Amino acid sequence: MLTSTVFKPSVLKGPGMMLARRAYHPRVIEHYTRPRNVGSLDRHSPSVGTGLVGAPACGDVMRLQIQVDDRTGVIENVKFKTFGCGSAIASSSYVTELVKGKRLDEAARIKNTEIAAHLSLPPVKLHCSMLAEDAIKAAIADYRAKRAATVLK
Amino acid sequence: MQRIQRLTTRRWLSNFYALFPKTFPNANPTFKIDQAKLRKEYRSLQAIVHPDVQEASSIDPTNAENLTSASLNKAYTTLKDPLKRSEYILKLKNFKLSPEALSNQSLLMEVMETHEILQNCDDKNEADQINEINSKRINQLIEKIDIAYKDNDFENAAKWTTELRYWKGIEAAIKDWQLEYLENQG
Repeated sequence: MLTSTVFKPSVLKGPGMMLARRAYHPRVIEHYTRPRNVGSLDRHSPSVGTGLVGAPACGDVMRLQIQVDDRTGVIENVKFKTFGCGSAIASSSYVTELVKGKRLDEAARIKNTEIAAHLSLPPVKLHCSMLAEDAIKAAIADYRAKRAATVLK
Repeated sequence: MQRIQRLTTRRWLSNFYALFPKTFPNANPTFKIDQAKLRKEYRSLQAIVHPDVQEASSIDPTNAENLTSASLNKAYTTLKDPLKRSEYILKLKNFKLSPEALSNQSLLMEVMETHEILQNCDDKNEADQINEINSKRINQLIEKIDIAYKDNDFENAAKWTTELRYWKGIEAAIKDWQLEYLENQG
């Protein structure tokens, strides 16, 4: 089941509330109001890798899932769900756009600086882009671990 | 005026605790605190340094050691709140949590699941129930943190503090849910 792409406004509040009053870059607002690839994939599927990460400094949580073509190693589908501030949502939304259609080794090379630069994140929000990088790396690692397990069988 | 000058410059800001000498005579960063005493001392200090009371000319903005209303306020907000207080103590001790403890998957799954349940919830009773469970969990964590500090067990204090941060996030999400619910009712 794919959940609605409409986020409740509540996600702008919470731990990031104080900073939410700052002016966000238009790209952040664009991703926040129209997040790409929201939802979930079957985490039990052997071709799906799931990355679940959290930011202990602010309590944000992010789940990023990739569906990979086993033969080509290309990311065919990607879904995310983030509970956190606008920057965290925008970072994860943008990273789903970046990795879709990429090979795993290309996707693994994405750096948080690329995400932060695109969204013009201020220094206090850099950790949001790091969270998105951690999430894609964790999803790739999860997929590879599953794959190794099936190949060994 | 002399008295105010003395009071505002005398105290060197070694830490937030040092700002409240009656409540914390040794300025020792402790987790267990006397809330009522702290509040009382904060109010009496604020009555002296508040800009409405203090003449602008008596404040020397170039003196970093000056006790200002704003710094007093920051110290008080940090110390009165268990999560902020604990984070502050860990910062003073320069204690960092291990990466393994930071990516505790079962905790993250539980937090994520609770967020999702709340997001899909449209029943007031169900939200109240989530809130009740969460409040209990938060109180238990604060007790655990208290015990960890008593045992000088910073590893566990940091671990529970990280957990507390996530559940405080759920608490904020519940508050937003309730606000939204009220708006829709009205």
